[in-house]
Amino acid sequence: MTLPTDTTTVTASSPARSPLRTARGRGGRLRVALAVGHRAGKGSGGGLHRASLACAAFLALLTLWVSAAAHTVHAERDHRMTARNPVSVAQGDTGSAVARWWERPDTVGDRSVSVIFVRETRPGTPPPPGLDRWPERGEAFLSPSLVAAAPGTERRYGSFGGTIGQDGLADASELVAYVNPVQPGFFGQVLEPTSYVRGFGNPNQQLFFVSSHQFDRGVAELDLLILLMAALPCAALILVAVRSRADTRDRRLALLDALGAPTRVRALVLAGESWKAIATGVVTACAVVSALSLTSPTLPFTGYQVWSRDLRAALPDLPVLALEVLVCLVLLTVLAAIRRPRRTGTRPTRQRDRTPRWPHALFLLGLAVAAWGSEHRQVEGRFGFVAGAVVALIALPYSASHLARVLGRRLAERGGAKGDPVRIVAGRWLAARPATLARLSAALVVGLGLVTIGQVLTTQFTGPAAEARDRYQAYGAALVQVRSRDIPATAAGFTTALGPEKVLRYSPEPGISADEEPTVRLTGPCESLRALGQMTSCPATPKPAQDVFTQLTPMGANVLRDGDLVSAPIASVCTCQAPSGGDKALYGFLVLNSDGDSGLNRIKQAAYQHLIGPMTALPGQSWYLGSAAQAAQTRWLLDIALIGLAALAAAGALGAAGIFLEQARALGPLSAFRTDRRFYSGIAAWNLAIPLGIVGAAGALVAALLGGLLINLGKGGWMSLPLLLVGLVVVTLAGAVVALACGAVAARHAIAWRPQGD
Amino acid sequence: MPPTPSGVHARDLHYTIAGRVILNSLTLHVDRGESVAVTGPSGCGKSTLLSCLAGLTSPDRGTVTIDGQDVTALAPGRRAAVRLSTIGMVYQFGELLPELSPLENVALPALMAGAPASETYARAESLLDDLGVASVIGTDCGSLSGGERQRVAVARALIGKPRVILADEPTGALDGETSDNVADLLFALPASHGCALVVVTHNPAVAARADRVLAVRDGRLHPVHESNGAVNQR
Repeated sequence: MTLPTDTTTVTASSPARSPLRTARGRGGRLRVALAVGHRAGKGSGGGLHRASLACAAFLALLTLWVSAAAHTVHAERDHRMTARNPVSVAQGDTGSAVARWWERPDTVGDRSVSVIFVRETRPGTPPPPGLDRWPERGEAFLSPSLVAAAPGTERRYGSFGGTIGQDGLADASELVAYVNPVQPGFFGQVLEPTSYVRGFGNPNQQLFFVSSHQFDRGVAELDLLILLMAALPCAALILVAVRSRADTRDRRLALLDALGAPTRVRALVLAGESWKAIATGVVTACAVVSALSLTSPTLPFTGYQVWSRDLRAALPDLPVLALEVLVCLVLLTVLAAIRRPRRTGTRPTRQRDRTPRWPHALFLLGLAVAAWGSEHRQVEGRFGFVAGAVVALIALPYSASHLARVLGRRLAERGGAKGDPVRIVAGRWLAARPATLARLSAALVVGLGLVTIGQVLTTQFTGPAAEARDRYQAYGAALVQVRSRDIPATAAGFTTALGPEKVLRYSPEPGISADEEPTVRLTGPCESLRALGQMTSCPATPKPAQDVFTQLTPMGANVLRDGDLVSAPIASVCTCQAPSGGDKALYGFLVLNSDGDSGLNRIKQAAYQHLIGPMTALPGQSWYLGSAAQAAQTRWLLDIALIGLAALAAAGALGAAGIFLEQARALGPLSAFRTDRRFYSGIAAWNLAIPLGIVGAAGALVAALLGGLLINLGKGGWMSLPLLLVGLVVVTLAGAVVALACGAVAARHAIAWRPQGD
Repeated sequence: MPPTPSGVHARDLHYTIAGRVILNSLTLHVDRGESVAVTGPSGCGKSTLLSCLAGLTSPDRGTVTIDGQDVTALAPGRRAAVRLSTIGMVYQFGELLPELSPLENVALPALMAGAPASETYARAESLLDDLGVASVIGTDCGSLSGGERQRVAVARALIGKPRVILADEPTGALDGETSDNVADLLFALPASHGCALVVVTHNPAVAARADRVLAVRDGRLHPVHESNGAVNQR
């Protein structure tokens, strides 16, 4: 008689050598049952079950911890933002102010910057959090990300005093500058009552200044994202893991049941089999998470850096979460298998997966509803599209299993006609258990669909951003709008610093009554005006623009026709002195810039040196910045979907491998005739890789169709055909890898197989 | 008696596992057209002997010759090829592939050996007919009775026209009448198909049908009786 390799036999033969005979009392029996389960789990096929459980535990704990850490990071961020938020003095009580505090926006590249002008008015006042002292006049403290954002930003706001500490920043990527303006009378022009402050630490969310961090959404939205894109796929993986290699376990439980083992003992045997694998996954996840918490990791796609101190603040939650995952998964493993088997015998019987036809209809219905929603647009159209797409993606794997059944039958018939045993076995298996393919396609095709839709959604924001970038890169960077307080008094210094030939000014048109629409006058030297178009002559006195210019350059058209660079329509143009008086909000500069980003930086530097609270803008910039900010937020989808895709891929691959290897056990007698890997790899290829390639192609088509419908919905966006093809190749390769691995394992089992009749 | 070139011949087989001697200088000769039943208590080494004869287990020492070819000297892949072309095996539970039809199960080893499909299916149908299970050809393997399953398994063992048939407790899972039917069928094979038959069994009634009955004791084979009642001297 050969040694038993089957887990059923291991369990059945264990009592003779196990501590069962010496067990005393309830605790002893508990330990014995756990030990029997643990030993049984080490039998053939147990490796895949253990790997599945460990993988599920790892990803489940990781997902839970990401959610917990997101809450902690959010709370820590809010805490720091509250601490730095200024507390304004009471209305009219400016005398009690200890400092002045005034925030203005700026930009670096496609990101917003918060520039905080501050000045201590009462000596001994503690500086804002993150600063070890108040900045001197003409000095600026910058956040580390702002220093690193672009060359020259260090000197943009004044002399560089140092970087802002973590206590003064919401997060690592925030772009903030604390500036003490060089002009002594700067704050005389700042009339906002909120600029008089009596300290810091204001919890009022309304007064929070514009933050430039990259995820301004509530933590509830992040929770929803994690639930949909990571937790649900993890749940799918858990379901696959707890039932992987279930046939062997069911037979063992049936045997224990036949021997009269009570439910408690069977539950303990199951727990004994699973707990170490689950604990391995949990411990690994704890180690990874703890190691991550010691660093300040930068997330992929978003480039968002999470501070180690924030992650460490979430570590106290880790033991509780780990224990929850361990207990829940062990419990789930027990509950999934503990039911009393309906079969009374322990002999293996054929299992059938009945795939009803209704998912087919549901899939087509989902597509139809999505198509209707895409055409109909509006609110109900969008709802229809989302509902239809979800239904189609859920029903697709079930339709795939029906397709697999048909495919399997055809394959077996073809193999039979050709006398090919590989195709006969692979085809019959596929027809008998199409769920293998359904699971793989559920994992990979749904993943493809999610990635495609995510890509379209992302590009709906990045598309306009790219267009806006094109617009201002085409000619807008050559013309910079600068606005500030009290321009008549400060213009001379600014103009001299840049060179008068580069600066145009616009000012309120004199003589306009309060009832009339406000207009402005554009003034500047001839050299500057020539940049706007061909002139009949250099107007020494104010003339309408159409009388001055015979033909406009694109820049001139942008200034004189589009009108989004000046605060009111231009009524006249001249080389004369700029008028003063009128509405101060209508004043501004248009600066000609022929030096790109370095020139822009010089303009900003001069503005911060000579003007009061300057704000610069480029054509299309506000739209571009808004779009870029939204695009940055949608990239979070990809970050979170990464966990979900990993869970789906693991669920599909492990589930399919489990079923294949369970089937491969039945090949035992045939393994007496063939032990070569090629034979078993051939079966795995026909049973897994080739059908998966076919289903993958169909899934890619469906994903492309849904992506197209989403684009048609009206918000634009685009999807990349190469990305879809890469997805298809990944699906096919995944099938090939699983097939190769399964073929190798089946061949190894074949060599080790021995008849066990005695 | 010198070994004959046909049939199955084991000489001086030794097999030890975990310090326990399973086979100890065991010798067995079974010619084509002859049947031998191997009996003995559980754990005495009957199935190990059968595995050694089939080339599934390599003995520590000794040789196994199948139809004149020393299988112990072959690599595992070649041994599998010898099994495919020379040996038919029958197991306690039939060990059919449940997803395949009985006809496909029977045809599979021959197709694996590269036999033409049409010829193989015709022979498989003929064998199933001969063994009295023609009616189950198109049915589901999961619905076969124990006796039907074993008959299909015997047909599968015969599809490759083997020179040796090895059966491991072929009636162990069957009730009395079905067991008798399957045993009658098996022990008729040496005469009808000209092959050597080695049957491992616990059942004395089944063993009694063999030309010779041998018992494994202390790792060796000991004659029990011949079918005519005389003690076996070989």
